[in-house]
Amino acid sequence: MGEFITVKDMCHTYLAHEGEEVQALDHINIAIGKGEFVAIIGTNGSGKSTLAKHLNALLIPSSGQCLIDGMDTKDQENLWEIRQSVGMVFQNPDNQIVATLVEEDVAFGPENLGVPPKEIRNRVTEALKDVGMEDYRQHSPHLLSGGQKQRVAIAGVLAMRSNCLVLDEPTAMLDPQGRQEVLSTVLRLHREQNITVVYITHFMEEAVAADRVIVMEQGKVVMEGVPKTVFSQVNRLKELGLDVPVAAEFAYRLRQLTMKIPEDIITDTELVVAVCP
Amino acid sequence: MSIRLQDVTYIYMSKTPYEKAAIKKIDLEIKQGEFVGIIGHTGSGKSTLVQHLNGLLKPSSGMVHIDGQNIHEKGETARNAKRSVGMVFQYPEHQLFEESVYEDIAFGPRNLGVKEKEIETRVKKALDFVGLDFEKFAKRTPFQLSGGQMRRVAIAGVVALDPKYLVLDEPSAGLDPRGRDEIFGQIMNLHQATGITVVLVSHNMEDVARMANRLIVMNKGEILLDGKPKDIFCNHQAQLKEAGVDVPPLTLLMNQFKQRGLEIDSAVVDIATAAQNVYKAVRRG
Repeated sequence: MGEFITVKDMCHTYLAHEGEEVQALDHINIAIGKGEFVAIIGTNGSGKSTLAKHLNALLIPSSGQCLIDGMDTKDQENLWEIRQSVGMVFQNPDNQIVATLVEEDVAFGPENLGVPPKEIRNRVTEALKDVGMEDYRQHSPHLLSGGQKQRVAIAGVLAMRSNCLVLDEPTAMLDPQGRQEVLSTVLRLHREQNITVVYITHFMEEAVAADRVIVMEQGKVVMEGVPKTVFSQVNRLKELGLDVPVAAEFAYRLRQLTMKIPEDIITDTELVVAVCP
Repeated sequence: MSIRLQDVTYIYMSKTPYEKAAIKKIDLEIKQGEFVGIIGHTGSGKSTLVQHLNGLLKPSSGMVHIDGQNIHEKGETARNAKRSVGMVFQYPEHQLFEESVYEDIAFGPRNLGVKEKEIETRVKKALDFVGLDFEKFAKRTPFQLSGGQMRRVAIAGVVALDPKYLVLDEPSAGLDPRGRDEIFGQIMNLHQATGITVVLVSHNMEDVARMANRLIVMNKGEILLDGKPKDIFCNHQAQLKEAGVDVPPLTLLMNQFKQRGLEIDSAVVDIATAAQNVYKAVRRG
């Protein structure tokens, strides 16, 4: 598995109110492999979104480097290629839909890339099928539910033949069913098409599905590892102001009550089996 | 003293091919001092329902009374009745517009003709309630605050109207867990300290289960369930599923313990108590 995203000693500084300098990213080092699914968690203001915006060159590092598939985001010449290979999905579904028909919205990206019309049609069909929205091709996006809108946004990225999806709290504005739709779509694309996924979320039950979890705090990466390692550190996560999956917290409480429960439990099933073998 | 909906139906795009009844024949009374949670799938009519509570929408048929006053009559008393309901919309921080936090919060009461001196007291009180320091924040521009702080300023703007009834539509959406806990903690404090009636629309079942003393589940424009959260989450899971509503994760976990034969009281809403119950059951076991 080669590296797809390499972030080296990256900093990002911006000016906040009264000329105060804010270090949004503070010497970040991250490597994300091709086809990996990485979840990023952290409180508001920890630098997650700033990091995400570096991944398709919406922001350029103040110092350090951000390499996408070996291309430096600082290099203007790489801009188009980077933006094509890394697709972004943002929190608010209403802010990223541009057309009046679902199929036109999905076609917007490839049209801008100058893809021939026939090929665009194929791509749109395929992309809508991939996100389970082919029946809505001729629908008007504003009448769709939040989860459906986010899936259309994902289809837009797929139609550009991006091989990496960066999602910045894609489910924050959705109801539980919408959240489930988006997460399972992303998981399936990751599994079936080997798409690299960077998934920012506040919902720990979503982060549990990732191959790896990165925890950010005040512009720094403070924890990193497979979900089991990260989420079993209940105290540490609580200190950071984050949630832990119910099962992990439950296991932690049972351990405090002197029950012998393994340290690495993060799912309901594992916990139930551990308690009632 | 209550908000009372009688036989309220609301039809969108009436007399067009897109005509749709968003809520149907709703009978509902929200009494003063209650903490009511409203849950339901997207499109179940939650938001349409709450927009009737202060007269933002006028029912296609049926009546709305606040403290005995029909709010769709003309005149001062009806207007005042509507004003006793404060409404916090989804993403209320998008509605911030003033140059300073103070001015933004003062805007509402000033519009109601409240005197400057009283406004200052209200702004202070409102900021205090949402946990922002007056000295530190009053003069700052609201637009350079963090998301959670902006949200709190927006809520303070509604609290400063001194409403008897406070309606909040998804107040924690998009906030991190800490921000969410803070906002809910402050709403809870406000409710306990002033006895204000709270109507909370939320997808977060755990929070609703923990805070509300009454839960209303909407489905397809109708009230499917209305009762105590513990009772609804424990005894009506099939109906919740039908309504497309999630059961709190803790309840699901407790179900699994039961299925494995553990004899436990599963009607709990906090992890600490639930863990105690499981611990006791295992030791008995």
